[in-house]
Amino acid sequence: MKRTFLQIVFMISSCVTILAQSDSAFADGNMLYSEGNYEEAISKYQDILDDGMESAELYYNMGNAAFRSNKIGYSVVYYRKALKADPGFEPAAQNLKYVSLYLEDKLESVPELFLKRWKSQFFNIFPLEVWSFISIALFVLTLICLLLYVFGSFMWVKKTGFYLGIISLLIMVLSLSAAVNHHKNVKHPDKAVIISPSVVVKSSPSDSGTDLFVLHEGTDLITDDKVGEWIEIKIIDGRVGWVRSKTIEII
Amino acid sequence: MKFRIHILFIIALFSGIQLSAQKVQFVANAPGTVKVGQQFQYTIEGNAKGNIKLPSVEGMEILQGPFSSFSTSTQWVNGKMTARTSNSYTYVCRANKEGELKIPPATIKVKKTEYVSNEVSIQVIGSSTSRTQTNNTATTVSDQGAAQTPGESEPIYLRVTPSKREVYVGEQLVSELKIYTRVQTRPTGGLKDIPYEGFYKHVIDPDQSSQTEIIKGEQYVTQVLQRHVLIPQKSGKMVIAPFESEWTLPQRVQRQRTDNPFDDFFDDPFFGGVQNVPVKISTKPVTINVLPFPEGAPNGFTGGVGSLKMNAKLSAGSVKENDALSIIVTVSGTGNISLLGAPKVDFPPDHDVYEPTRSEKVNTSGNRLTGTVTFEYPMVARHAGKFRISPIAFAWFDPATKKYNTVETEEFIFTVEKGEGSEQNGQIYVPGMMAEDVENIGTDILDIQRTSSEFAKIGNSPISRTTYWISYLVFFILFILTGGLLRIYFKQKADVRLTKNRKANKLARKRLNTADKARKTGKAELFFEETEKAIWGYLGDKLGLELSSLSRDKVIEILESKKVQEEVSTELFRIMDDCEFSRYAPTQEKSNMDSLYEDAVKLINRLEQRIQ
Repeated sequence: MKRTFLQIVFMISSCVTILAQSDSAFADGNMLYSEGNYEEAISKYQDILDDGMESAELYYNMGNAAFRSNKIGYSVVYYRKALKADPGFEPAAQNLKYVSLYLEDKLESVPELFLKRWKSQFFNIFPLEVWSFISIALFVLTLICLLLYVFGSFMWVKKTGFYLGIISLLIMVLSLSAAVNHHKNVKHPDKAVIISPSVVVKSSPSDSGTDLFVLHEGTDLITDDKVGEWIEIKIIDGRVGWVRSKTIEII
Repeated sequence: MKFRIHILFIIALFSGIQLSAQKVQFVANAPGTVKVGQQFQYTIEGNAKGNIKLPSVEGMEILQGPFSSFSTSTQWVNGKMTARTSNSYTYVCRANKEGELKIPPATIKVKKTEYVSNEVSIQVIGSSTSRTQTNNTATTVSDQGAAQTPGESEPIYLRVTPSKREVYVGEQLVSELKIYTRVQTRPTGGLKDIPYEGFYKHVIDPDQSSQTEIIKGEQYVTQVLQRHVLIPQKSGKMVIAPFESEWTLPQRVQRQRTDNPFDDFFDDPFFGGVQNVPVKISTKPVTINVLPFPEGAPNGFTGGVGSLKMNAKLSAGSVKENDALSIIVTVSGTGNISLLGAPKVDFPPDHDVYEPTRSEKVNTSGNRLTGTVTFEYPMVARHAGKFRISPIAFAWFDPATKKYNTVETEEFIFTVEKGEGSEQNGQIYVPGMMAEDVENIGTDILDIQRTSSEFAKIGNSPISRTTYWISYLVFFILFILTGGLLRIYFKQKADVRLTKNRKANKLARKRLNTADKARKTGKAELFFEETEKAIWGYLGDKLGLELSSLSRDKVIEILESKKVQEEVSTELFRIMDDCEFSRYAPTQEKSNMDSLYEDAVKLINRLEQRIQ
């Protein structure tokens, strides 16, 4: 009993120290950035990631520093990661838009089905944590409504309980699926960005494959299969091919 | 006459044999007196060919030479013929010192024997007032035979000689086109400029003087024909392409050989056996390695190379609105002045800025391009206020130190005062009259975030934790528990009501019995009280309500909702009113009590039928 208590205390205190470390490293990184030492700022920020901590602002600042030190590919990676951590993080979206002016590949995206677009827009309203919290809260609300419906002594109470319960159950299912979707993206990320200045995309996972087309750093991809060090990729205009895994960075 | 000439030729033919038998001797000659700085000729004459060696003499400078000339002369005097072969070596010299100048004997090596000439002394007198021109025009080529000697090195050739073989882009070098000749020659139809592709070129006057140089033992007269300052425009191996020009060369005309042995004699140039022939001469290609600028060009580098300086000034410190002012940037020094780009000036936004104008002055000094270039940046102030122009940086590359240098001016501040419209260009500019969009002066990424939201563990998603799903389960169990408890509670409550409901009739009857007893014994007040209690108690039990919460309005409401006829409720309230009224009435009639009792029994029966 005493031991478990001590363990918990130890866990909490280590958590607190890591958080404090992260905060001070973040401040140091910002200082280096302001002085113009972008490379050092990135390595300072990277220390936080190495400690296993992340935040949208951290990724965003790394994106800025990468952009300032002319690593366009990495700046896209970090802005995307910032948006992944917080889909509603407006500065990251704006800078990503600005940085994309510097990209060499101008690809026309295949227009998505409106339902799919709506779905991803809806899912991106909140980050994962918020969605999971919302779904739990709605679950509780649904149960309360059910109680009202069953035990309400008056008709209007029963009716309110019934309709409110159905609505909250629906929203709960949606938010839970959003959370699961986010979770899948976190556990099995399929989006990536090219970080090598230029990459020849092959038709098959070997050097002897036919050269299909050339992509340049900062281009967004969706990854698919993996064979050895080769990854099958799909670009937004729908073309597919194989590239070496070290030329891209998974978001 | 014809006979005489023949005789002469015959003698001349034999004179060569005679000559070889002659005693070899050399005599040096020079003028007796010369002025300081004056050129004079020092000649050594002899009757044999050889290699001459003149020791250096203090106070005398050999300008040119030795020019050798060979002549044969035959004299016929008073019936006596003398044939002479003479070989002379001439030096053009200049005395530099006043006083007696002794030229020591020269040594002439003929075959393997060395001969010595005589010593000559010259009196050098005070400097001449008018110094003789040192520039010698046209070359004096005495050895005309050289043109005809085949197998030897070329009699004439052109060379392009750059001063440097490895330069940086924009670095100056001097390139000369030089002629080396052993014959008298001139270009046919003038000489064109060498194109020098890939270079910026600037012509410098070559000094016209010709010189004598010994190259591979041969004596050449050389002259610089063209001299250019070159500035390479791009890096890499730059090749100066062969440059071809046409020259007139004296050449022996081959005659038809006859048996006539005198033909050789006529071949002598003296007799016009030489003709001027145009010859094309080409230079050899010359490669110059042009290095690119080293990495790390600083801000403000506009391609300047050399040793430069910059200063800038503002034409006026304060102007009125809509007046023009300008920044004048002057770059001067040695370098590629003509190829300089204008330095960047950051004007404050909201002013009309025009393209800078440039004016340059370039001259050469000591084979180097120097000069001044002035950039003027005109600008029209549109709004009143105090403005600053950030310092102008100008950087250039110094090939001597292989480093970039930067100078920076201080910042310029000027004030614009409110003016009463501009008269000079006819437009009246009133601030605020023209709506101005807020222009983007420059776009950039947004700045970093100073604070971060709480850091979270990477890959930490709540729904991957079992606690998240357990919390759902916990809430569901809570729900079931609450539901069960509520159910039990409501059930119990319903049971209480049911028993009360069932017993309502019994209870009412009991009370009515008590009322009946009171009626029979004549206790009127007790009778009315019990009757009222019986009816109220019945209603309370039957409708599941507490007696305290019973009111007439509530009873009407419930009875209406239970679809009880209105006459029943009217009857109910009539009995209630009667009871209350009669209870406190002074006189109680028996008949009244009887009818009320019957009505109350009937009412409860009816209610019992209606309300379940």
